[in-house]
Amino acid sequence: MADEGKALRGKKKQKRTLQKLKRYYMLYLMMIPGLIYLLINNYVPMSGLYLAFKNIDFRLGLLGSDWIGFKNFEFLFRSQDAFIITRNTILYNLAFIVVNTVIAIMLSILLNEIISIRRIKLYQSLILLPYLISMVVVSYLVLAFLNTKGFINSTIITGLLGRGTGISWYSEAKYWPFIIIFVNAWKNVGYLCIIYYASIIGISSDYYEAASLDGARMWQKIRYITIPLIKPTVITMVLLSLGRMFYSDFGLFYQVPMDSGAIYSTTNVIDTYVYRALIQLSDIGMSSAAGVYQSVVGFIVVLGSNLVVRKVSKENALF
Amino acid sequence: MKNMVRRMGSLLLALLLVISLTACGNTGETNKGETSGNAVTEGAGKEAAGEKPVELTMAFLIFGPVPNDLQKVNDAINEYLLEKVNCTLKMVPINASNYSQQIDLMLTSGEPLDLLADGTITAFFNYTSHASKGQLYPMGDLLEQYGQGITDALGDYVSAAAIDGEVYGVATNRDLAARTSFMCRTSLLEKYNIDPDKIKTYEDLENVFKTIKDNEAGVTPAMAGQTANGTLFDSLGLSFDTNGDQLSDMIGVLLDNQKLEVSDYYESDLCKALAERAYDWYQKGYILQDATTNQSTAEDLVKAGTLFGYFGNSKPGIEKQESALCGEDITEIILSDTLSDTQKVTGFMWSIAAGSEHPDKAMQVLNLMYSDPVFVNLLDHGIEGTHYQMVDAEKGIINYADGVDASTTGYDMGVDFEFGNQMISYIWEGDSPTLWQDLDSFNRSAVVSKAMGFQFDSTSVKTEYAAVTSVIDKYKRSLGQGTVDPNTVLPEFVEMLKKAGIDTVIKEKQVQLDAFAQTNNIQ
Repeated sequence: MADEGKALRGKKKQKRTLQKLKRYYMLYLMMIPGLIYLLINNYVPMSGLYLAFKNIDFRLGLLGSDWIGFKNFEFLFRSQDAFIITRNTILYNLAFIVVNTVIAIMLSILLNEIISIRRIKLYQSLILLPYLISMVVVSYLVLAFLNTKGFINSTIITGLLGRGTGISWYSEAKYWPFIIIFVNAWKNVGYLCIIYYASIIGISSDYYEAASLDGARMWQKIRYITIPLIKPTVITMVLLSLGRMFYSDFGLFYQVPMDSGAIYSTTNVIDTYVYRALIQLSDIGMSSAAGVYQSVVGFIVVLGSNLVVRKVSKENALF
Repeated sequence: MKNMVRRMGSLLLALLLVISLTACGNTGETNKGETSGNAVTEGAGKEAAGEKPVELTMAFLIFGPVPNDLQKVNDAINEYLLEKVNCTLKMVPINASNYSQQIDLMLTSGEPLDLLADGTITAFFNYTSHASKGQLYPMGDLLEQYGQGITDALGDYVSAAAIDGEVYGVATNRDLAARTSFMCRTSLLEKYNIDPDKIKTYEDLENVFKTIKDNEAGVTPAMAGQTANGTLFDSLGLSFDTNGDQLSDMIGVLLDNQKLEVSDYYESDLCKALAERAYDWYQKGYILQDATTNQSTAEDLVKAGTLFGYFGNSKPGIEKQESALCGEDITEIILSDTLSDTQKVTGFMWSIAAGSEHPDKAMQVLNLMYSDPVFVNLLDHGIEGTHYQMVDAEKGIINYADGVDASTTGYDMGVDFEFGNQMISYIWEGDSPTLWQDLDSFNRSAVVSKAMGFQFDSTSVKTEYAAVTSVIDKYKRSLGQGTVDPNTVLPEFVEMLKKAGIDTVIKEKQVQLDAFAQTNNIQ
């Protein structure tokens, strides 16, 4: 009985799939170029993973070179590099998520309290502007501030605070976690803020009117109306960024610290490491090994964050 | 709206795909066109001595764009070569930025390639790896048979690049040694009455730096090297401080180039003293304050007026060369002895590809490149009357042809040092008329390292080598440019190097060096 029902349902489902296929075949056709692109760009290169386990010798060719197991991976773990870059990548991304979300929500609530439309437009544009600037340009803006004779050293430290010498920012690793997080927030908060602002103006004004009639103050309105109502948007945005935990903004970590060796311990992330490995070692096997390491750890992190996502809200999970 | 965006997205992607595919198709076609064009010229070539002339492919490095008149000069060269050795040459200039990859590709894909510029300057070449992977043709027998001109020009250096006793490349005959100098602005030297000949020691230099620092606002007295990432270790460490040998990568060096004893430079007292000096100079404002973030060359900074001078390798004729780059007169203050080691000789070389079908012809052409002024001048300067004209035929001094200058000439690649024997080519007006004699005596006056000819093969320790390289990247620049305190950072650097396995690399280098010394009977 139950089996029959199942079979029937299966048939029905099949039929429905066919029907759907017929109905939307145009859309599916349109998907093909995108799929081909994905296949060429994301799946075909995966076959290159095997390079990481080979000792490349051109006389023997790529396929004919000797298998050497995990020997290519050893250099990663020789000087704690693997630990440092993994730690940096994950911690920075976590910090970005927290800092950016909090600032963006604060800004969007403040924007919502402004009445003059012209001012709203002005502030919105000012906040969004950094998001549109290329990282290379940003890196030189940062340089103008942090240079040995830059704004911070010459005006603030030696000028206002009256200290004799400035700080050589680009050789002191300890300051960089703050600088990187600050620059990232300055650059990316605008975009997030626009999204939150859009969902705040979507909140019906009835709630606020009713609250005012009941004598609610501004802070109470924010606390009990605005924040609960934008919560779904916040969750979605945080989940989206959790899924990208193991990507890092190459420009932010390579251009902004000006590729200065002395501060690698706090600015080196997986992307910059793989890049440097390829450029400097020019050893295909070893740079592939660094790439494989990135993929594997990235995969684990994505799985992990998906687990968290599923706990929080099931419909936002990837699988 | 969302669907719309998606649709647009996939459309765009499809478009991109189509474009990239057609782009590939296009290059394919043009390549075909080229080869068939060559086939025609080949067929038209006259058959001298009953033997069919062969076409050789010659790949070489250039720094600028491909010259407009390349084909014209190539035709003139072919005409000459057909007569001399009954073959033609297809010149394939490749830009420095992708030379290494392009050559690797040509060597591995079996594309026709006979002669190639190779060497041990890692930014462009990969000679050691090519040779050890069997991609180059062993030249020993050919040199004996056809290479008299090469042997005459190079003398003992002909086998400087030998690996396991077999020569896979011959150095070009140019500056085969170097000395370390401080290059600085003549105008400021004169302004403060500084006699460049009296500057011999660090103290002398410091006095000059102090004068400049105190009197010239906005001018930094010195930069550690010529390029943005050059350090005092590179420029002074093993040349001014001691007559050493960097053994090409500074990972394991000879502190005394007359003793075959490999050691870790970064652990030595010399390195410590130099790092302390760099830090002291940095504190006093003598060397570049924004060294960590600077990306300009020293010449550009001098041109911009913010720099007084810089340390660098030099040779006879350097003042003119650097003055042109800096846009004002430069004086060379010679600091070190003239030194020579493998790296300086084998930096630029010529090799024959292992896949060459006519290695004998290739060697004959190469021989001409070292012994035949007509051929060399064609390669270096192009066609007389079109690209250059004689100013003094007796002394071999030339200048641009009428109506042509540096910016309009159709053939001036500026890579004369690359084409075989530079010392048999014409001299540009304005250079010293005795330039080649000066250069020759400079080469002969060099203190030659005992390890001359030694090439290190890092494959057996490549894990350690890679780890060590990445540690050096992190520390060397900041220590060697004085931006960090060596009292705390240098011990950390040395320790990280040990962890990365520098001792293993040095041990392997010593083993290979001992073996090298034994086969070559060096004491």
